[in-house]
Amino acid sequence: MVADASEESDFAAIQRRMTQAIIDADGVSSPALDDIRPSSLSAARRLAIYRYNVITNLTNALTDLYPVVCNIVGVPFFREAARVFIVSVPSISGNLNDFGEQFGVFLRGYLPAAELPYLTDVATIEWQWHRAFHAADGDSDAAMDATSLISRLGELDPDTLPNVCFALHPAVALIQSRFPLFTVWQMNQPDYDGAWEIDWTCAEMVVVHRDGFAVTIRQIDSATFAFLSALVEKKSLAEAFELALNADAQFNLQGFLLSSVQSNIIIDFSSPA
Amino acid sequence: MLTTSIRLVDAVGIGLRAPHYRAIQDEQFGQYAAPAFLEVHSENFFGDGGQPLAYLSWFRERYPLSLHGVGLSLGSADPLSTHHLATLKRLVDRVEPMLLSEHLCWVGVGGRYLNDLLPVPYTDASLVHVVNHIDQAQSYLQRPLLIENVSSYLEFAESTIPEWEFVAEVSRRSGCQLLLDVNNIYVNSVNQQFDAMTYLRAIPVDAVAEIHLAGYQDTGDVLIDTHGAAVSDPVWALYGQAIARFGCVPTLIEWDADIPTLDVLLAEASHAREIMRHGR
Repeated sequence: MVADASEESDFAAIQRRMTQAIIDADGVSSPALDDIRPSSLSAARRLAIYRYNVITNLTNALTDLYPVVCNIVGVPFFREAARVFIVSVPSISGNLNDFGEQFGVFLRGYLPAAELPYLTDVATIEWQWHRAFHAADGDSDAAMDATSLISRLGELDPDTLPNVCFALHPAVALIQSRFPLFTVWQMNQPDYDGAWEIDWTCAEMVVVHRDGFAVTIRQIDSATFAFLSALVEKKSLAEAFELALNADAQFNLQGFLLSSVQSNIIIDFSSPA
Repeated sequence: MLTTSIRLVDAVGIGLRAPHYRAIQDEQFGQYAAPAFLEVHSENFFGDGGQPLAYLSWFRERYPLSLHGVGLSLGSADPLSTHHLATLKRLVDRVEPMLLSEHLCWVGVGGRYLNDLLPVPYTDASLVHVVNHIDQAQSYLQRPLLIENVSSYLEFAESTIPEWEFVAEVSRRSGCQLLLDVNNIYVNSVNQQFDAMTYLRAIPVDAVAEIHLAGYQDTGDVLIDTHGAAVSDPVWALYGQAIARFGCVPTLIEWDADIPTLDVLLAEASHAREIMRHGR
């Protein structure tokens, strides 16, 4: 049995009109009103219930995702920004956990937030935190604990060492900011008890990673950023090391590798045959 | 793979939400029995790894598990999302749930999702469309789905079939089982002014494989299905009628907003079990 084509399109049209009516703040003149059977409660009131439910649900999802952005701008400002985002940037997945990735980019063009240009970078940290939380465990058969990885590295032929390629944990993300991003992020943590001065000329870089199940945000220096960025691009140890040295001639490769392996940022390596 | 043929007698479960993970792990059940099964929202475990899936494995090893989806959008005019189906299949293969359910609703259209459970117009055309989608999902997932009736705050002028007949027919045509949400039936019966018993009597007895109970909010002019309160007295009464008709179907207490402590949830479960056993 096949649905009649014209009825099928009616069915789609009703859903499209209702979607538009939910998204538009002005549902009073919506053509969707005529799709609703007249009763004691007005069609506009019935649509308004759905509008409230949809906007509230998506706003709550953004509030859960972006607690630091919310803390910086305050709840009323955040909820209004969220509403504008929700109506202007469509959710494109039935999985609510996919929603909100573009919020940071949206904030860059959101005029009421123009005086807080670092918000986009804060939102980027928070989205990457969310992504890292759900990322794969990175415990493939090839991966191994820190001690054996380091000893296996040590057993390599010194000639092949420069061509080694390191594998990063799937949760790892690098963020480079024009702003003191890490300081801002840290100051907005519930348990922060440090100083409240901030040097706005300071550009900071962070790595988001996961050790076990705990997502961690750490500040890194420019050499570390250069090295890890090179690994993201699948560059070899020699190439990554050179880039790190360009950023800081004193870059301590051994110390960096040890701590990266121990903190589960680097989880494996491959050497050319 | 386990199948839905596992029949839990007198089984009352609870919706598993993150604030209760620890309390359940520590068996802080107080004077109440442990939940007979746990139900989670499938999409919350769509990730590749991390803590959510580790928790889920822990619970899966100790409790029968039910996967309850909110995002497949079976009633949408859009084609089913193959990505969503594939991710759901991966999760189903991973945890082999006792029950697997979805909603009789649309969640978005034209590629734009509202991420809410929206009612479909009840027409011959939409019936064919929904049944096709359920067939497609069941054959892809290689197991029967339970389909849940949703709450609604409106009726479409286009609708030509009463909701209860539509739900019954979806089950007959697709072979899917039903997850009967008794709270949703009650909420709709008030909002749309029909007799809830007419609804129950229209549903094929053998089709019902699970019942949901939750709380609503009364705004004065409409009942809102908030999942944010205790089950109301009229819903308990309707549940008694449902048990009388459908037997001791596995029943779940859902509470998703203003989530209370675990013992409040278990007290609700205990009440449901009393009704199952003694009809009151």
